[in-house]
Amino acid sequence: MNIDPGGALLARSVCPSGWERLNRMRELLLSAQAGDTKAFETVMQSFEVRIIRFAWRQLGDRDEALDASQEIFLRLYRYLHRIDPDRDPGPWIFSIAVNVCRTSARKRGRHRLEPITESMEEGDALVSMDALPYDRMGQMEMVREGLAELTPKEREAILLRDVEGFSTRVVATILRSSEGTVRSHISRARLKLKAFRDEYSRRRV
Amino acid sequence: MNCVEFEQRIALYVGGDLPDQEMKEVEAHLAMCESCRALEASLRATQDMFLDAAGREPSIDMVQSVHRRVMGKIYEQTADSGSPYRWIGWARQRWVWAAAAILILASLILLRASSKRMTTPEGSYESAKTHSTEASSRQPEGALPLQITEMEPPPDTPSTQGAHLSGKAGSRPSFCLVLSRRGKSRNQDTPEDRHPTMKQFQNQMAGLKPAVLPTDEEDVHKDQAVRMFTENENVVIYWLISADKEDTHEHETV
Repeated sequence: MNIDPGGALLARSVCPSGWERLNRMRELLLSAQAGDTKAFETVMQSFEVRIIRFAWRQLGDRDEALDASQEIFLRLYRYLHRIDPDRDPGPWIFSIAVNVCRTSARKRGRHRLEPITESMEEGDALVSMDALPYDRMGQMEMVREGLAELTPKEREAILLRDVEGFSTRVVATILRSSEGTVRSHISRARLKLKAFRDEYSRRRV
Repeated sequence: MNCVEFEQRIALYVGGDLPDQEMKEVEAHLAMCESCRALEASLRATQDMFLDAAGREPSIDMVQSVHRRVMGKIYEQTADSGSPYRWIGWARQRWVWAAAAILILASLILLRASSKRMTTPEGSYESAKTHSTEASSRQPEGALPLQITEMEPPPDTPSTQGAHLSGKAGSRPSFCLVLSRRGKSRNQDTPEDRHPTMKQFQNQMAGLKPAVLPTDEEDVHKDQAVRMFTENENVVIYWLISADKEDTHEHETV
């Protein structure tokens, strides 16, 4: 069972550490809204890994993801006063991320990701690609290509649900969509990824 | 219900995204359908692999790059003095340099303008006119490099003139000190005199003997230097009076 990261009440009642986290985030947000740049920096730090990952997976391009991530956090800073400090800012920040990535993709003028042919982009990650076992490399490549097969909306939904761990209800809020539509996108995305994996395995053999 | 209709639900079921009722229905179907169990297993394997690969975090370099860029931009806007990024942010802006250049230029012009204005006293000395040392052929020894203000006294009685200078009646100068120099010897202007350094200037002033307002018959025939302190501590006005000059004799009563 997944715990809803956006559900402050649930976190408060079920998970005391979640409650502490929210309380700390609340204080940081209040300070940031009062003009404390350091507090904003801490808020940003607690989201930057997830946001950059989301932008990268959604856009499929490292440089585009860097530009988009920068824009996402600058927008977060600009609209800081609109955040309700009593609620988890996660869904709110991700809704900015979704909008920025949509704009970025529109500017690029293509709605589907081009499958990335160059070798592992995560080459600059902590682990050198040479050190990764072959099947792991294959997995990365396959997932990237698989994500490129999805529609942008399916990709948004599956990334938010499965990678970021938001509930379908919160994903619907982030995407300004209905929960039914989100579920539909998620199930289609999972089936497409499964089919792509089957196909990919066949090609390899 | 056939298996195709269950596909979508099974895809949601593997992620725990079905309401309780539908979940029970799917479980009941899976218990009796082998192909759907195979689908479920395949979906779960894909799900695990997807989470493992897509969930990998971006590199530290990438995260730091975004962090620096964002904070740099923000400190540009806020100009937070405590920021380690503030100089990066500011220095990257070309308009900052342009503004700094304009500011320096403007202050130079202002300084020049105000120093010109300061040589002309206001208030009761509005009629004062200035001329440069070069313009005057009759200068006291060690002519001052500054523009000398030659003041026409206001059309008052002699006693009032003195009062003006000592700041009793007029608003400025607020205080006055009279220096007198003995002797009348004067040299021709040399280029050095016209452009002496500050040190030379101070030496020249040191050669003038401080005195109270001259009242003696004798004193009024000597060269006089009047140093006036205005309300602005940065503005000091020197009034040099040549003893044998016709027009300055009019100031005898000062």
